[in-house]
Amino acid sequence: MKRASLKNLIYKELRLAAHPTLYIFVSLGALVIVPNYPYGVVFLFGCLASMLTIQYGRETNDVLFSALLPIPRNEIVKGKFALACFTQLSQIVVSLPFAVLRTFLFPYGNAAGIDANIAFYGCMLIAFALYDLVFFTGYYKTAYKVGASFVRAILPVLAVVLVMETLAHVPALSFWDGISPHELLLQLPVLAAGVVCYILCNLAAYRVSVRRFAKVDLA
Amino acid sequence: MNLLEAEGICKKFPAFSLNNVSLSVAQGRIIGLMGRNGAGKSTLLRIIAGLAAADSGTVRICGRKQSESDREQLGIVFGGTEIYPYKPIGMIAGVYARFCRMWDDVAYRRFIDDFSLDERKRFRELSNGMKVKFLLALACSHRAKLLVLDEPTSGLDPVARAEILSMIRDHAKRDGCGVLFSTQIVTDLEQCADSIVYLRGGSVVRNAPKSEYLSNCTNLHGTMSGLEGYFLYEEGVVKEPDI
Repeated sequence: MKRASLKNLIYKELRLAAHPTLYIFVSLGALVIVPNYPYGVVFLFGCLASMLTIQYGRETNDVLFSALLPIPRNEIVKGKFALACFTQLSQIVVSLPFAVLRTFLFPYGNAAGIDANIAFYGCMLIAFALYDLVFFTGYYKTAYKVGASFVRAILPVLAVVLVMETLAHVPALSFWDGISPHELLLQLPVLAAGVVCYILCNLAAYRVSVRRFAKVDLA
Repeated sequence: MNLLEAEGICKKFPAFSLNNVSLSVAQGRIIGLMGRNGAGKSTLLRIIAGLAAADSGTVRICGRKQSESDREQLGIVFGGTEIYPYKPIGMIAGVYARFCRMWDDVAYRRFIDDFSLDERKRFRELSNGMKVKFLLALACSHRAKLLVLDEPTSGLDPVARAEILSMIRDHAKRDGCGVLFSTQIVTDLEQCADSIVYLRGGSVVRNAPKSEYLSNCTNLHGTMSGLEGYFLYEEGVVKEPDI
């Protein structure tokens, strides 16, 4: 049996499985243009997008339809991960031009919390990584318990937001909230950590999810 | 050649178990699964379809031990299934076709025309009969060698049932496809099945050609005849068959 191409998997997810609000949540990356706004909220929208799509898939029998396709079960899981990563990375890409634009429009910074800087994007990747790790591995234990998996997965996201916003108010770590070239340079390790964390957590989450989903009896 | 050979299938649930079930489906043959609700028909079909794992026993499809690579050999329909209710069925079929190496668009178009299905309609806008016909069209358009059908005709009017049974018969006789299907409507089995496997409480009570069932129980209390009479007798609803 041929393995489904990633293109076909994503096509199927976007055409049939994705909840319509997914596109709205992706576009909410633009919220970084709003002056004096807690940008950590943007993470939550990214997480909500995958949760709603998985829940929508449960209601529309997406799991059963996918299981009847002539593809191995791990490809079904791969499709969901591909959609989640596509959503999260798209949200980041959508937000980038607005983050640049805001440095010109509001050069005095964000009074409500961290600025949309490199440390923010590093934290965003870490938050998404932890979310995917907890949410998908929890969901694929049963392939129907969406709510409980989401509640468990959103806790580490909130922890990342809390730490990120708290550090933005620590005077000794003023570089954390800055957007000057020197400060952005100091933030680069956070972005690197975010990229590494995102890749490793998603790979680990995918492997565990495949193993768990293989044991699920589908009704 | 046997397209399906299931041997000693066991599956335990807290309140039910499938016990040592064996059956086979040869090329061009239609095998009916009969039994009360909860007899284990759907569980057995889910195991054969690869949706659930058996605790023990083996399933061989087209001579090879069941694996994920068999999926393309199977056409699977679960009656009463609602998929993507808000999506047009043409869109669903378009996505399905992308994953099928052996997709036969000519055959699919023929089914769509024969069943008068409007591809612009959303799945939820179809009648129950149309939904099953659409799912059958998908299942039969990728040159599957074995059809696994769970209650495809339940809840449908006689005309829709006759059309679906005719399609199943054609597919078996013309294309040499094997068919395993379960139903509560025993007259469908009378019309369609070559052999019948009778399940009760998760075990096979009888596995025999349809003619044997019919010859064993032709009249029951003067009211029920044929398979329906046998069904009621086997379940203890009536005591004395007039054999």
